[in-house]
Amino acid sequence: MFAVSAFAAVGLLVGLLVAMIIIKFANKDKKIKTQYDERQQNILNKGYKYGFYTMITCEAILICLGIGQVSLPFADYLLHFIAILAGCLVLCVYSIWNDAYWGMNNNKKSYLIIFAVLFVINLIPIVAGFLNGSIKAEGVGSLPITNIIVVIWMALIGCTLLVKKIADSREEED
Amino acid sequence: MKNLKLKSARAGKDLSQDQLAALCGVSRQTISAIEKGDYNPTINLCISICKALDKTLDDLFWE
Repeated sequence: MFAVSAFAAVGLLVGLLVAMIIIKFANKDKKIKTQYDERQQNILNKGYKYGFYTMITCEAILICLGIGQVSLPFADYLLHFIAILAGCLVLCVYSIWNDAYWGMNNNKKSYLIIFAVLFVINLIPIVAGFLNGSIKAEGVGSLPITNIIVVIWMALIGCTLLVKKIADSREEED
Repeated sequence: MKNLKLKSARAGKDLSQDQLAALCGVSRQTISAIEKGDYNPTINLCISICKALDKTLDDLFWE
């Protein structure tokens, strides 16, 4: 038990370190912190507020379901994970739609490459499950549900980025 | 309300929104939002814009 926790903790720390290094090199000025201007800060502040409201609403629903002893086909940790992702999704969509998603020192290309790599990393276990027949043999219960949730979440953010880009290009044409 | 004075002052200096944004240390979208009247800048940003365009606050932001 201890060994597994230690491995998980070390894995998390290594993950954070790798993320910091990636962000450092993805930014134009090689700084870890993304810089936003005053308008973007205002938008992000509102986005955090709406994201927080979404998260506590999801958590309140989960509490109500728990009190009502309604059983859901997901593990408890996954439900809380979904609540966190829902809050983050609201923040991302709101900031994308109000041009506050990309900071002034962000290199969009690098970030999109990182985004695509993470998407593929999460997609691999799902595709592998279908290809090696484990889903057919063991049923839907064997699906890597965490990866599926993350893939859906990333796809929604990707779609928002795409729609915003199309809307912006049309606006420029006008 | 659209800020046409800012837009014409920028065009007068032959600057793109991107160039003006870089001079003022903000994003292009922020300059666009100010010109469209979607965002009211702080006094600090107004001063930065005025300095970049060699204009006064009255010239650009007073009706």
